Amino acid sequence: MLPRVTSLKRSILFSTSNAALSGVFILVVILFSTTKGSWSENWTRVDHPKDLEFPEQAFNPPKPERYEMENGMVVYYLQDPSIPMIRAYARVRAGSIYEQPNEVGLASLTAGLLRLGGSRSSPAEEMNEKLEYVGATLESGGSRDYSAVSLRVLSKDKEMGFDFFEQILREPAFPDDKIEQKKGEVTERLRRQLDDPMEITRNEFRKIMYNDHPYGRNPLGTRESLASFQREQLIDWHKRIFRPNRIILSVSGDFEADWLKKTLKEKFGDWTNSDRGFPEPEEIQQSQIGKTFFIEKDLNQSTVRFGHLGIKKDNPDAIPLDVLNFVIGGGGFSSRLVNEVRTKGGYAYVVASIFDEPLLQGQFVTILQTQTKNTMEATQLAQRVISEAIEPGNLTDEEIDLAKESKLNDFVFNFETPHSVVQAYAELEFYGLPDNYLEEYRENLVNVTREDLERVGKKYIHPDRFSLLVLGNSDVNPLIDELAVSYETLSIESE
Amino acid sequence: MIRSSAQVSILGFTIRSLCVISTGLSILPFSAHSETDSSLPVVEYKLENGLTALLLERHHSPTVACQIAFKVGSNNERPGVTGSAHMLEHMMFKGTHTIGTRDHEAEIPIMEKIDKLANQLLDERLKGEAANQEKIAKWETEIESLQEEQREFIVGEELVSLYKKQGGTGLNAYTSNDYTNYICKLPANKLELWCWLESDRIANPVFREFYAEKEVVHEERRMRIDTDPDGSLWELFNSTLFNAHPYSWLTIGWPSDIENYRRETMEEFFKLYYAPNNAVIVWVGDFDTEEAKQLLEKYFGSIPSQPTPPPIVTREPEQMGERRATLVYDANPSIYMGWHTVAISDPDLPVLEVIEGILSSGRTCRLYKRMRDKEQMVSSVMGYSMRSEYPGAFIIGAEPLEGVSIETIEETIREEVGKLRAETVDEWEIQRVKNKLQSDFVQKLESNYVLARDLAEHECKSGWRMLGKIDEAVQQVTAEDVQRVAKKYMVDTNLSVVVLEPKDKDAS
Repeated sequence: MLPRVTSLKRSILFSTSNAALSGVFILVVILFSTTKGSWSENWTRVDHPKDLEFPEQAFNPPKPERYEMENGMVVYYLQDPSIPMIRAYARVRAGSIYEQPNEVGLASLTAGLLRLGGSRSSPAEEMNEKLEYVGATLESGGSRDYSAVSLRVLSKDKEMGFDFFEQILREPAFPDDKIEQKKGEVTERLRRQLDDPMEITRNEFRKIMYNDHPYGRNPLGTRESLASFQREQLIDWHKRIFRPNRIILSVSGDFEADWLKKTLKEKFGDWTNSDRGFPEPEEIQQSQIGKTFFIEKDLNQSTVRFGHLGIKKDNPDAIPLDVLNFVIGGGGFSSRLVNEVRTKGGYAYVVASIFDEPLLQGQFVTILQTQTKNTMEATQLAQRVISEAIEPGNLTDEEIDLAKESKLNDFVFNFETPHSVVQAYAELEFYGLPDNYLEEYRENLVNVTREDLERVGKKYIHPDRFSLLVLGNSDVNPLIDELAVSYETLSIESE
Repeated sequence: MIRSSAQVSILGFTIRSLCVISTGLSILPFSAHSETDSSLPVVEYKLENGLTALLLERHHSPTVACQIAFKVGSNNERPGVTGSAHMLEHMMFKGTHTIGTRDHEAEIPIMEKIDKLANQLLDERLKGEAANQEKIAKWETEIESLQEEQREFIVGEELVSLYKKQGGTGLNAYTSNDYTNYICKLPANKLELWCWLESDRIANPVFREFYAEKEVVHEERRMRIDTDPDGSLWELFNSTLFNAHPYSWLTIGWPSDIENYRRETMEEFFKLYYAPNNAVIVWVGDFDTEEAKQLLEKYFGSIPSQPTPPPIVTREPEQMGERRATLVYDANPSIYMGWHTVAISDPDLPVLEVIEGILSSGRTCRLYKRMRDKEQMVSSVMGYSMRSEYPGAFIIGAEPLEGVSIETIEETIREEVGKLRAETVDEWEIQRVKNKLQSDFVQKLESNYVLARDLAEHECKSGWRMLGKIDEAVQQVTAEDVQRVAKKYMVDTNLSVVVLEPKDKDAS
């Protein structure tokens, strides 16, 4: 409390001498906004921040070590003794893209149960108590492209942490009571997704984009699929899919390299690789093009998504497309969508365009939320903004510059912590990008030209093929009717 | 989900105001939100105009987390203008005499005309049924065309773009009940840019595009509160729990107040609270402290201090009996329960944080073990002890699984809280919580941003050293303390319960 008291005294002291003056001065600045005060004449700054000159800053990002174990498990590691902690992250090619139609939700359920169910040698309760007593966290979960297990542990407790890390990856127990618990909780999440307009439209738009492909399904599964899963299916999935040659491990923090190598060899060295029973993901079929869909929900704000299929993570045009999308709607406040729809129009708090770039073909989707009466006006404005941005000659040099400079200058934040560095490299390998991608990124970015942007805009963005999904109340229907657009009403209650 | 995060990171870009519920009153995604050590080598530097700077050098990455926080939040509002602190936060991104404009002189007369018309229009609308709709329509058209005229001179979102161009990330701001914080991360060689822009927006702000931004803020409210069952329930909960204190309304403000904002109200607010003597600058990262002091002196030193803002005098009276409220909404059921507790500086606060850990952190806490693991009655349950400038609350929220009644959930929570009053807790449970908080502190050292945010938050609420003090006090908490504090605060006469009751679709 001491500094607080001091600060109060001081501010009283200094404000009394200036009180009258400063009060009047501020009033003048705000109400008339013209006069310059005397104090600011002493302000020895450049007139505009554009004129500031910055010192050079060397950029020598750390590079992690990589090695491959005999069984194919890939390891990235980066040591940093400055904080007495270790993080480990196993990324496993075990996403829901590998599910068959009768397995919807199995990848995610299995991944979640690695941790929740404990291992064959350490029941869940015992593992929970030991880990939490030392403030460590161990978590597992699944997504569309991969499943993952992550560990955070103080370096003094690393042996215990890696013990459990190995156990849940290699010998999860899948006890029946925990399977039931997880099924119940996931079913509840499905039910509660229907309370959230963002979740509803996210799921429904994916169905429009991907039809029956795993990318079009809810990775959590369905009420029916979850109810149908037996313990044997989880065991079988784990046995087939969780193999060392499908794992990229990244480890960072306070440890010796020899210790890590020895530990990983002890724990994972005798785990045999196998590709038997491992499915190829399905091909993505053409999605529904140029259609309009409506979901009725009695809310005073509509949620709108529109777009079409986009690109994979390893697409060679990803960098110019990223620059282009920065200008369109990926650059936040510096983007055209935010400037036109939000800042000028006052139509929306949320508006953005996204190329999501997953393992398989992703989406180019624009999202916005606006009050009922503005639903179609805001949607049409957003679509117009995109159409204009991809017209040849329409981008300004300033915009292109800003997008490139921004990406160039904030690149350093990819290397903020040792964990973010190992993760960045592990991710490159997972998505099949070249291992010199990060080294060459800055140069590739600098080399992006206006012609590149116009070319990728023409190739990957097609406003005439956008499908549109609107969630809103019954006052939205006449607004769509006014545009003489035929649309299909989707029901979300049936699942 | 139970109030865990109001951030809109799903969109892949940062949105200006994670504001409102995301800080201060909410159940944060991590249950322990504290624990810096007083031994952190923070340098406290004070400028003559009363501005405080907290400087923490760390050289592991060539970056700096920069924040400037003001001791103003929804606490400083009154009925009629709720949400002003947050609206003002939005306006602070609209530029200055130099930023966001091609010709500020030319804008001034247009803005004056717009304000005059907008005020007339608001006055007319407030007449309700008697309002002259023709006049309203006419003024709306005039305002629209004046705004169009002003746009000739506006450079949209220039402040953010100047930052972004130089590699600024995590550009954002948030408003809580107790304070408002402007945040940003920059490459280490760009600190002068930060000084230029931040000092400029305190010294020469221009609240242009005010009326469009009002609509944006209203959309933000629709997203966070109106169309989000949990947001709606949270709002009802706060107004049930607090009757007198400004914690009773959310930072976003009531819809009718948002509709009636006037530019002059924001200017008054600004004048009162955005003074150097009411602010704290925090830098954490790769810089030289002596150079930092010189930069801060150069840019902020000549901004005049202002009279100390008026104190917040309203105190929540003692609650004299259990309170209940119901929200009928087309969504699945959920519940919040809350007991009035203490302010950040109270010696019982660290004990409440240990209780939070015992009840609600990790998989070995009591609520998780019983309600999720053993009896499988909820999909989520969380407890949270507010760390607020004025007396706050201990809050528990839960979402039942299908088929489990909300009464069962409430009864179970009451039983677990009752056990804290009736029995002493195991030493193991307390030690686990203490160890976890220590480990969380180590984890925080990874992030300049998190350290900066903690320092800014605590400086605004009670002085930054409170971070270390609470940390140390937590380590001293005993089983007897836990029982005593549970008996003192977590009793039925001090309890508020709100329940979301699903709308009966067949009946409507």
